[in-house]
Amino acid sequence: MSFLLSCPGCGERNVDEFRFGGEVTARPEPDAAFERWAGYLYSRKNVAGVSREWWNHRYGCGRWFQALRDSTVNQVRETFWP
Amino acid sequence: MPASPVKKSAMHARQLGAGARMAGRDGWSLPAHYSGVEREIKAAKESIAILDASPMGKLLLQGDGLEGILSGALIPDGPPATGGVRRLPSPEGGLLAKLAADEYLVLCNPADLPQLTETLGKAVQGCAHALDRTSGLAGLRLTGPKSGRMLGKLSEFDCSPASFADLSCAQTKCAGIRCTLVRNDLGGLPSYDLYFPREFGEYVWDAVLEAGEEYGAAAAGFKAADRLMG
Amino acid sequence: MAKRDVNARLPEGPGELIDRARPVEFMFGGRKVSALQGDTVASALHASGVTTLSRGFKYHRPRGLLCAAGRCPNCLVNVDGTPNVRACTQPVKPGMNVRHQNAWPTLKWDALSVLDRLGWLLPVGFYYKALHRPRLLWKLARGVIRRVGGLGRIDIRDNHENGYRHKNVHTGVAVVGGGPAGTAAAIAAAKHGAEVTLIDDQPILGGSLRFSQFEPGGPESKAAAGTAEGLAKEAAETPGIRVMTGAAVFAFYQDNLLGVLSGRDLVKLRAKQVVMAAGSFETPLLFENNDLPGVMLCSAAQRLVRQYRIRPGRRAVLAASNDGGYAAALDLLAAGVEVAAVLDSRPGSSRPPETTRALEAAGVPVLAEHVVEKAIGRGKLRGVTVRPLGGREPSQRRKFRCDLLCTSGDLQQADGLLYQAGAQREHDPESGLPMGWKLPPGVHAAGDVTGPQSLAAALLQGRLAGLEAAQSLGRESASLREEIDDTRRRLDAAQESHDAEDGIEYVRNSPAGKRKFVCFCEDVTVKDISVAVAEGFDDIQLLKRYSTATMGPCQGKMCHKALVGLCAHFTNRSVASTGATTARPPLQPIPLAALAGPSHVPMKRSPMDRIHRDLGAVMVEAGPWQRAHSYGSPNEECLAVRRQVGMIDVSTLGKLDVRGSGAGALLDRVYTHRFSNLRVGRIRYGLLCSDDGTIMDDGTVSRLADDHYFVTTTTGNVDLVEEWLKWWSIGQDVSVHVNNVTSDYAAVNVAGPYARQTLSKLTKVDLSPGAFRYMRFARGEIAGIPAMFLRIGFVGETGWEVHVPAEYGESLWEAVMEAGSEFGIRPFGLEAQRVLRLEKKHLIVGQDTDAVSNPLESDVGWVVRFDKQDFIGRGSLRAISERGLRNRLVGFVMSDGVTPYDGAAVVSGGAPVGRVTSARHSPATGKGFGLAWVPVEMAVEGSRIDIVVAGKTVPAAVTHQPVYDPDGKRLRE
Repeated sequence: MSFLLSCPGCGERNVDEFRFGGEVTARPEPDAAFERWAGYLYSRKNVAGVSREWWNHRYGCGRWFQALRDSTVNQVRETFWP
Repeated sequence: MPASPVKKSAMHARQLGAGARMAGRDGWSLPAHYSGVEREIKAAKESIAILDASPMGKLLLQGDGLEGILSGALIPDGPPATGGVRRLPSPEGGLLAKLAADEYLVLCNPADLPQLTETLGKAVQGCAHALDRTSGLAGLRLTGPKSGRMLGKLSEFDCSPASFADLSCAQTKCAGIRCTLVRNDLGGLPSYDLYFPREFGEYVWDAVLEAGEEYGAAAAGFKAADRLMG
Repeated sequence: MAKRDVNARLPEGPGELIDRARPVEFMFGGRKVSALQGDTVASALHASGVTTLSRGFKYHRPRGLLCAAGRCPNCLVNVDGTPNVRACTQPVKPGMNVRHQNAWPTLKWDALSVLDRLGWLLPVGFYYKALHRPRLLWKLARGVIRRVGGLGRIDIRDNHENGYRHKNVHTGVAVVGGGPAGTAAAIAAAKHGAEVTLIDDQPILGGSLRFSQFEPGGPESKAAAGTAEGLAKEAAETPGIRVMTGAAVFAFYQDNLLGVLSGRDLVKLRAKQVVMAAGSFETPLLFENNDLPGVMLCSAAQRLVRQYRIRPGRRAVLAASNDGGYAAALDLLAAGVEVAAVLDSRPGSSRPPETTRALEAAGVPVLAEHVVEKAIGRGKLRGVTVRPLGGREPSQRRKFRCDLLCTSGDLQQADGLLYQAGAQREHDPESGLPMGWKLPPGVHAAGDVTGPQSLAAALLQGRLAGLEAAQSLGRESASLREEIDDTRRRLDAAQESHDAEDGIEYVRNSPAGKRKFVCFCEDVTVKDISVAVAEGFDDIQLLKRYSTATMGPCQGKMCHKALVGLCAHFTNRSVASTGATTARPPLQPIPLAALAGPSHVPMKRSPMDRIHRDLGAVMVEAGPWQRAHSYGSPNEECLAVRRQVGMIDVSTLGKLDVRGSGAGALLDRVYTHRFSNLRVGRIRYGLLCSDDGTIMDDGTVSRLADDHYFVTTTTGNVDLVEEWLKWWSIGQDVSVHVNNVTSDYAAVNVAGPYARQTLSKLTKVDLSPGAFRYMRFARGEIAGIPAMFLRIGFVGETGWEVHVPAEYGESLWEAVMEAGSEFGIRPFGLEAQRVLRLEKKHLIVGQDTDAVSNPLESDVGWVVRFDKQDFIGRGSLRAISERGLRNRLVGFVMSDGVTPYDGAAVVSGGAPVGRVTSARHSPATGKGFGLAWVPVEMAVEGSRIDIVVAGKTVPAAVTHQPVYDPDGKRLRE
């Protein structure tokens, strides 16, 4: 793992400055059915293709941002503030 | 009750171990010098001098609208861009480092901190605030022609002169931990300030001294620093 | 042993690397060897007549110098305790101790060479198919194989510093390979302002020009050394070029990160652009006994001659399937070696006419369409038999006496890094023959790595790559564009069109015979490959794994091409459809110590750390923190807190500063409790869940002002909680800032019946019961230091957490100890704190809870506010409460004095149904007690549970009450 990731604030850095935060998901409304909660908690799309992800610049500005990453070639297309 | 409490840096025990002669300055017990001031100055000029910068006043400004607040009377030529550093006007002086769009770090001499805190604290009322991080952030200053190369042993961040010129700043991973890196050259010598969580003090001290060994780096006290800033 | 006359140094010549004025002595196998500064271990040994450097991996046959360039496995030795050092690239140093490997008792008489005669017992993949029955046999065989197998021995007693350093370097253009193409690329890029790093694994720049004096295609000297000298000089004089020689690029990682090993420096070189110009290298020919010492690559002989001025033999035969043999023959003639014959195995008349004439003029027979059949000699080359291509009659066989056989199979492009970079080789769709490379962005290629070419073309290709790299860096200018166009034009004119070949003629043409080694590292022969293919391992990837060819220290440099060729040959496929093995990092064996580098573990120390050490505290690691476990007697420390007063360093607590108009709303959303209604100056316990309802963390929340909270977390979780709070504050309209201020405060907890008296001596803050009540917060000064006072009671006594700026930590500690001395104050450590809190039934997140514990079952349901519209975890906790609880965390008291271990099983009817999370011996009651998870039906006050202690079940009684001060009077006093 050596790839570079661009923090929208700090710029391009080595990936080990970052913490991966998983896929971007939508949290259900508080009183949604349990099935919807279960899907939100335990199911991930894990796409072979462009996936929208959370990343945290843990060793830099400490902020969360999102990235579009092509999981088939591990190429980050774009990063942006949520 | 002790007469007056003493401020000690996180690297105090290591400095004593390295043969530092301690003296009081701004309420801190700091190394005045180690083996000899001349040797320390020589290290700064030819290799790297390692100075404890923990006492530096460190005031974090956060919030929306800081740009406008700082542009006014405080910084006549406006605040720097993100990753940039600007000198604050006299009499207090100091540095203003822009860490992020809505976050600045003010670095100043310990004696000027109360005055700056008051001025800035008043100015940033509302959606912004000032947080004094002087206690939480330990600091090391690496001064000398080989300091950049030595940083390359501790960090993957590109601090080569072309990409990280004088008066630049960055928050990055250094020695495996989160650091704020500020480049502020001293009398023509490349100089980097490294600010990091205080609890890592002894660890960073060890890592930096080991990294500097092959270049002939030497720990230096405030007497050498005074002469260099001269 | 030494026959110095044979290998005596030649007269001084251009480009030699040795310094004749500086002799060096070192030890080899207990014998003193004289060398010259600039020698490698291998060149020095050769100069003193040592031609056997190692023994083969499997058959223990003697092996000598083969490549002389740090690629093959033949010269691996142990240097000063470090195994597997390549003698041919290791510079000599005075006094160094070099020992042979893989041979016993001596290199010359190796007992295991008997395996060479027993080769029929060890067919390819023998460990898969032999020695498995009876089963006992394999057990025995495994032991023997493990002892005999492997290469080199690490001296585990040698506990020296690892000595490797890691360096990060950034560069505009990295050029891999300092031959003519690479050096030209570096100069061109630097002239256009690029910052360039030029890397070569040899001690000097120049590549093949440093050892090969003649252009293969013609006899005229290309003044190679002069060209190399000129290029190296220009590179040194061009500003902006950093030259790294003697440095191996062992890997290409994503986004142009190169792994480079340079002496004891492991350099992580991040380049914006990379020019690959690693060139190509010769591979051995396939014939019987092709591993005999005295058989070496042409380039190896040339290196000995030109760089170390050693005559590699008296009488030589050269055999090649390319023009390289002709050029080498001229070099050897010039060095005074008698050349018995030059063989060219290529079918058809492809001899370079001018060179052939020059050789014939010197009386050297040039045999076209001839191959070597067999090398003759025991332990040392004495002669060769050769014959025409396809000639099988004994009468066609010819024999030459010689002590040197230089071979050159087809050139192998040094393209491993290109493959790692994601470059793809393009093949002609019709013929299937290789064409060019499809390169990823940011990667350029030049020189022989793209295919064989003339020196002029290589120089132009290098220059073009350098210019294009500079252009990609944004160094755009009219002159740059012009220069690129001009170079392109000249390159088109200089490039000769080659008839594309698949490059494995020499494999097809190799005559039959025994012991034809394909892979010198793993001792794999041509026969092994044919057997493996016949057994069905006919896919190149499977063939590699089954035969282990290409998997040794050379990583396929000597054998990959032959393996692919043989696979294609035995399966009647084309080279293109046979494919290639995958060139993974590292391309070159790298010591694990180099990858590990210096070891510093980020360790956190409290501001009072020195004091704990001075007091002789037993320090333990609590996550990254160093904490005091005890100061000698946890029992006495407990008693001091219960009877007098104690102080513990709690600086390690995570501390967060949360402020802004949205601070209260954020805490309401993230914690299960409510904090927006907490009054300023008050403290509330907080519990944090993730959305699946499991406990993440706990701590206290103090409200300092309307829009300002001070939150503590457990020692290990502060980073997690900080990131968690920041994450949940995204997208909120109101302003909130979360700052981790753990480092900013030194903190102590002063607790016990005399805590109030102790602290009152140091502060003007009114600590009296009426004025400063339980779970309240105040600011003030202590011993002249600004402080925050939090009255909380983790250990169950009247007490305060006092937080001061971290730099005052030692002053605070000393002041409190002095003030408390009249009351018998004692510092207490983690162990005492664990006992004290357990007596109060206060849980520790991570000790008493785990990744699936929820607050409802963990007996802290009282902090879950379902009346809040939403909070993180509410959905799941609602589901759990509707489903009903299954297990519960309960207190227990043992029926007698025994104390179970943490983690002991709770059993029922012989089956485990729960577990103890914390258990200690109570000094007050004399009984064991603690916390345990039990099924909900057992979680009834007073019910009996059985706990396994030292193999026996011991009864205990469930209790929901703390064993100490159940009403909590003490901590509220």
